[in-house]
Amino acid sequence: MSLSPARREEYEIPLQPLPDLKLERELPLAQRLWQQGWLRKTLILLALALIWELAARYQGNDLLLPSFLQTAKAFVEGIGTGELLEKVAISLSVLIKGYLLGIGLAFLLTTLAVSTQLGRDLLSTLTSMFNPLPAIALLPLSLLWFGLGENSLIFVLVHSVLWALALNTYAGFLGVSETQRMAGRNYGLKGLRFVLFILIPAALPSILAGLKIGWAFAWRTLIAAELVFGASSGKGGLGWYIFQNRNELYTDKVFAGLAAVILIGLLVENLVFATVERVTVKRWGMQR
Amino acid sequence: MTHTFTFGRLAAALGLLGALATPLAAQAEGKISIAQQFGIGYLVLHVVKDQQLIEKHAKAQGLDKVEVEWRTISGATAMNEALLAGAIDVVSAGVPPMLTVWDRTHGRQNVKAVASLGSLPNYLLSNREEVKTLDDLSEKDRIAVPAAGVGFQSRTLQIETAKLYGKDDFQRFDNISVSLPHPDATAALIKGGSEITAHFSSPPFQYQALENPKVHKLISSYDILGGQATFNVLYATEKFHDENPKTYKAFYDALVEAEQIIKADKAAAAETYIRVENSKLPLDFVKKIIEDPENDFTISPQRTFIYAEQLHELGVLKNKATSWKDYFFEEAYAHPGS
Repeated sequence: MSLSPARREEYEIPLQPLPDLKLERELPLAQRLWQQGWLRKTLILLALALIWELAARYQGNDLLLPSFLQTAKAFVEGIGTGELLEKVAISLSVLIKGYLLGIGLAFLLTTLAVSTQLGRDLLSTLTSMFNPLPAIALLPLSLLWFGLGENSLIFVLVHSVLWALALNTYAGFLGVSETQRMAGRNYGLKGLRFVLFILIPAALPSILAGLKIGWAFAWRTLIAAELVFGASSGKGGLGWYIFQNRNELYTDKVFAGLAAVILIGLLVENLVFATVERVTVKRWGMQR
Repeated sequence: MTHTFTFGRLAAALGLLGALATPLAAQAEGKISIAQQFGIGYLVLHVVKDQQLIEKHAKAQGLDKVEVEWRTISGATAMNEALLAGAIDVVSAGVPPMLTVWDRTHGRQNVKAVASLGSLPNYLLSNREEVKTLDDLSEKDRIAVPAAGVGFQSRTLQIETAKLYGKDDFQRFDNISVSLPHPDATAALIKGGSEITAHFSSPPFQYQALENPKVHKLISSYDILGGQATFNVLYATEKFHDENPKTYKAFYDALVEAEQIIKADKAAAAETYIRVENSKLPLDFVKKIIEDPENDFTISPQRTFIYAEQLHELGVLKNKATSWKDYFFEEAYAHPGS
């Protein structure tokens, strides 16, 4: 008599062959569409345009608030006659000059700051002094120094780009981990090459943030400066276009000018900055 | 900061603006707000304010109480915006800006002029010896005007330019014009050494500048328009004019009386100006300006139609006026005008 429990017979159940079932499931069309970023943003824009159109019609005073369609018409006309494009070209050429100059100077200052004690003191003193100063407040001063014209605009543009970018870059440099720094030193990198090959790639997310902020600041400053004075009325850019049409009570053209600023902002954000991010920080896995 | 967000904010602000800027409720009789600018050109309003003439004439109209609000705003653009937004009932600026508003609001708010504030010449001055006429102005020069391209001075210059160089070239001098307020431009011209070599001035600034031997006159707005011509006008919306007939009449009568007061005693008018404006100018200087035969503080419009005609021809105005009465309210027809 054994105490072991009765053994059950082992048996196998053969699996049914799988019928034709798709391994992956199709999402419903609506959900697939909703995953498209551009479509979501377009819908938001359309909704805003509709609200604008309705508000303008309800208010019924197109000298104060032109409707979306009127603005679009003025915008298309401005592009058609080439007037708006010409103004955009003038503004952009000044803007890019000031922006590049500002980037160069910011790079110089931060390079000094990471390499020498004196440079650090210089940067922190200068930024704490000048960063709170609105660029427009410097306009009268730059008019005195550089006269009426492009140079004084470039001066205030540099001021608006320089400090924001220098601060961001410097903060990014300080945040570079000690491991990466040591790796760089192991290779014998010093000075400028150390900055170029180690610090800049490692601090790229903050540098890009600084570049974006600087770009927005530069635009704001330029438009505001042109509103205060067109370099001379025949050669003013977008801000001047807005200012003149406000004087002439062509409110639809004022809005068309504002729309041009917005569109350029969107283009630069979505083409230039997004591309740079895609091939660098996103590819390197530093940013989501 | 993403730009879609900026766009969203803009649209939100627009919606808010739309909600806020709904036309203000109709005002009851007995309320009027008036906006003026700085300078001797507003002497008529200074006298009205100083002697409380609106209150006096409101009583004669049978209004026992009238609330008068005086505001000072600089520049025609701000004036027009305040008027269209319904923040101010009656505003004042040069003839061309008034015509622009009349043109743009034609068939809508129907803005029209109330009365002239006087005929004063505006001089184009230069501090460069070699510049004797308009023809001598070149790329090297910069002409300072309060609002380049659109203000009284620029429009007057455009009319003269069209006469000299043909209709297609009427904006020739706009390319060397710079927007600068009169006081700054006057200082720049007297001091010299800046890029400003010419200034289309107005009283009293032009007289201050001319006291400097280096500064000389190139042309006066009177030369361009062919004689005495209105400088500033008052204007209002049709809505205010139609809904407040008594208040409007009291205001117009006050202007008529102010003109008589100034013409009866110019010395007293000079004192009034200095007192009301808190002006630092010497009394004799102001008296000299008021007594100058070129300056006529009349509320009858003079030679305004030249602007209406010429600016329509240059394409600045879309609507063609047939006479000065098209853009003045009917109360002004009692006086001569042109």
